[in-house]
Amino acid sequence: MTTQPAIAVQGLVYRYDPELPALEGVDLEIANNAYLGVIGQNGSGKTTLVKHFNGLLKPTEGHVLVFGMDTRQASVGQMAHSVGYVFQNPDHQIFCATTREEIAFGPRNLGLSDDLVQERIQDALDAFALGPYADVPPAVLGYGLRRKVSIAAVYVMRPQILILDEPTAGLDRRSADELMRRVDAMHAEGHTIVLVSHDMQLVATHCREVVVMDEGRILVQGTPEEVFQEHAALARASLAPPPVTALAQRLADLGMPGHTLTIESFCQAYGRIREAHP
Amino acid sequence: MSLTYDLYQPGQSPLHRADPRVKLLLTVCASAALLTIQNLWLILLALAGVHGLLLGAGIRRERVVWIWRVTLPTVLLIAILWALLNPTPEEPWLVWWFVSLSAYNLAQGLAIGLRIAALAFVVFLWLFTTDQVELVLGLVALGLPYTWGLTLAMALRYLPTMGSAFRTISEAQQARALDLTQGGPVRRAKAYIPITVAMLISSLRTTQHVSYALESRALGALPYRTYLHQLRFRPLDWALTVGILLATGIFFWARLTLGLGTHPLVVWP
Amino acid sequence: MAEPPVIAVRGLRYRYPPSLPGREAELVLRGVDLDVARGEFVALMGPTGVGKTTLCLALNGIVPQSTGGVIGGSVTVLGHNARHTPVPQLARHVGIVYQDPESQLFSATVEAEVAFGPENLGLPRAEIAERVSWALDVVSMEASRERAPTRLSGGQKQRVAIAAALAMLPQILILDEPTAALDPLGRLEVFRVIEQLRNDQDMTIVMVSQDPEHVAAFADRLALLAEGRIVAEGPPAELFYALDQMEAVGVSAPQLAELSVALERCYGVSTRFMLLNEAEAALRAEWEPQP
Ligand SMILES: Nc1ncnc2c1ncn2[C@@H]1O[C@H](COP(=O)(O)OP(=O)(O)OP(=O)(O)O)[C@@H](O)[C@H]1O
Ligand SMILES: Nc1ncnc2c1ncn2[C@@H]1O[C@H](COP(=O)(O)OP(=O)(O)OP(=O)(O)O)[C@@H](O)[C@H]1O
Ligand SMILES: [Mg+2]
Ligand SMILES: [Mg+2]
Repeated sequence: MTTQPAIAVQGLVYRYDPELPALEGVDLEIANNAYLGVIGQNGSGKTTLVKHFNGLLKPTEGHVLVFGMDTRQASVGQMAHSVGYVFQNPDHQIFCATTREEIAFGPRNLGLSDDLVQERIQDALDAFALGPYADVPPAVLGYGLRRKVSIAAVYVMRPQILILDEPTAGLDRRSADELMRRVDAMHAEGHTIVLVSHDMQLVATHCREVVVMDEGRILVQGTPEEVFQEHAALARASLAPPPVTALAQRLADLGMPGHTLTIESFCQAYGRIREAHP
Repeated sequence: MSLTYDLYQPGQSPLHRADPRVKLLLTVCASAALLTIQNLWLILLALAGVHGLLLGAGIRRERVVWIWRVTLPTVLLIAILWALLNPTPEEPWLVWWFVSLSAYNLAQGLAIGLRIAALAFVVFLWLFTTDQVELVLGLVALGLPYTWGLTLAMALRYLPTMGSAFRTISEAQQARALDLTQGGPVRRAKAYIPITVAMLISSLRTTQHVSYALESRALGALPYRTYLHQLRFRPLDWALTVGILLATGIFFWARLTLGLGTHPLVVWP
Repeated sequence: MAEPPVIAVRGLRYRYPPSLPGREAELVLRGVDLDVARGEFVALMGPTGVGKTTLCLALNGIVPQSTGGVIGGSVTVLGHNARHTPVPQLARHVGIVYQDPESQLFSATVEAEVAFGPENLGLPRAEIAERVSWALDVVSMEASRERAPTRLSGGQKQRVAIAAALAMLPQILILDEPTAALDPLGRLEVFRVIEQLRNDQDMTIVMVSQDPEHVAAFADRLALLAEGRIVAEGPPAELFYALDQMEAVGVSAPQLAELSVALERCYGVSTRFMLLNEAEAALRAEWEPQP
């Protein structure tokens, strides 16, 4: 018996304008508890694709099934019980009078107990260092803070599938690290994560699987180790491997593995090679 | 999907290519003429004409439907109230308390209601076929200060955006598990309260940021400004202008001397 | 005698007006000093909410002229007092790309958006046309000339915003995280254009960025903003290896700089590097048997 994928995309075509398809036939299966990175150049259709996962967009052709349910059959409000989506633009998401209310909005709709809601809100405020802004209207905060609020407001719902559309754009390192620590923890607890990002280092470090989008289609799919060695495809999609990987690939003649993704693995490989050739 | 973002719909029809001043003249003349008549047949004729122009200019059917959707409630309301509440000069079909109904009244109510739709169509005909740059250039060429033209163009640009902001926020709420398909109207109405607040805050911020952007791109730094595009008044534009003025002149002559269109049902009284 | 700096910020202090009545906003800038010479590229890094955007806005006069609030100290830009010179006047020489790509695009088409600034500068038509084409070409958006900015993807919007500022060819260009939404190639292209503008036009650049790789490769100087002040400044090559300090401020160093520090710690590799070419050369040298 095969287990049901979290998300199944079949022959997905989407057009904003009749003449201009944004997605031109996407097939994709996202397993339960996957950690998927979606990368690709500007305008390649990443946002359009992930907006189908919680039903914000409905396919022009084809199907998107979330836990076996066709997104055309469910409202966004129902989908949101299992799928959380952090918008690319935080301002498309912020609508409450205070940061605390903003964060509380989702959990209240889930029908959780009051205590649990309070606990989660406090945890989210702490996780994103938003405590000092709890009573301020989020709309007047700076860009990075607004982004944090928009992430916290979805994180607080602990959705079974979490979709993040460029969550770290405009965040400093410390906030980005803290965010990714939380996301990793959710993944470890069994949640499914979909991360859209232009930060190759981030994708290489965290994702277990990567799809490269190009002009509304999937160009390559595989583990980050595989994908970041596909030079032709990456160049075509205006991408480049993260610096450490690029360096390792340049040093391939010395025996550096081309699939080195992190500083730790680079150091280990470096040590091994040193030992082999003293 | 309702009308999103921009009013202008690009195209290559003669109406698209006509000078914006000519289109403005058409809008003004047609509106003036419409406002002076209350004959049902003439209004229907005008509606048919403007539909012909819209579809001939390649404007999509959804947009035409959209105008009807927006204006229809007002049209019906006015038609019904007018027909029922106005005293009638003719023998009524029906009298009940202070309400009376006659063919005359019914036609007049319909004519006045549909006139609103016709006016809306005339204005949207102009907006759908004139892009923002041309609109501003046209107004500036007519002697309006640039900032006025810009303000009008921006208002037109942002009004539909407000509509899409409403949708965006509503989507955001649903994306956080607000289920509007269930629960009664009270629940729905309550869900709209935060949307309204949010729209207020977000439109304030947008206004503020846009004004920063305008200033920091040197708007008003010099007493004059130049334009990438220039309007060209072509022979066709002259022909159209003469045609519009002539038609308007004849119409008003007929209206004033022959009473054209004053009676709801009789074209020439 | 050396030319005086084109930007001179002295003891800048700033507080926004209260966002809610009766609730005093905190002091955002608490004594910022910064000099920028003509043709220099200064990168500004700092944690979220520290006031990077506020500092940028002070350089083109929006702070305090449009935002209100309480300001102290002085901001001199090209000899003008930025606290009082009207923003549109400053804008003839100081261009800015704001952080939020969405709310700085107000035109109906991409072309109109990019032409807006040059039109306000009263340039001849032919030159406007030329600049618009050039700027759109630079950000690879020529093909979207007639499209509505509202209907572009996030990164495409950011590209248009950059083109709109470039087309004005200002003497000073301020960029507030201009590449946050761009794909990797797009980022590199923006930095390359900036490099070219500095070479060809002696343009002065102040850029807020969370992209240490490109800052390391392209910027002359890095300034770290923390707690309302510039806490450190110098060539990126000096600051980026001080990983402890970067961490304390909360911003990231280039991945290769981190690698170089890690290799030193584990294997005593003593050569420092943070650019790809440097790193390759350094490690190869380490490898070649010593003569
Ligand atoms: N609201 C819209 N109306 C019309 N076209 C749109 C709209 N949003 C996006 N598009 C177009 O659809 C295509 C895909 O856009 P999408 O936003 O999915 O790209 P993306 O991969 O997320 O890009 P980015 O990295 O810049 O965010 C682009 O060509 C874009 O211009
Ligand atoms: N218009 C405003 N009114 C009141 N407070 C504001 C306003 N804009 C920003 N602030 C506050 O001033 C502080 C500095 O904001 P600023 O946007 O300059 O920071 P930043 O370093 O650019 O941050 P980010 O990384 O988020 O872009 C923040 O605490 C922010 O909430
Ligand atoms: Mg996107
Ligand atoms: Mg900022």
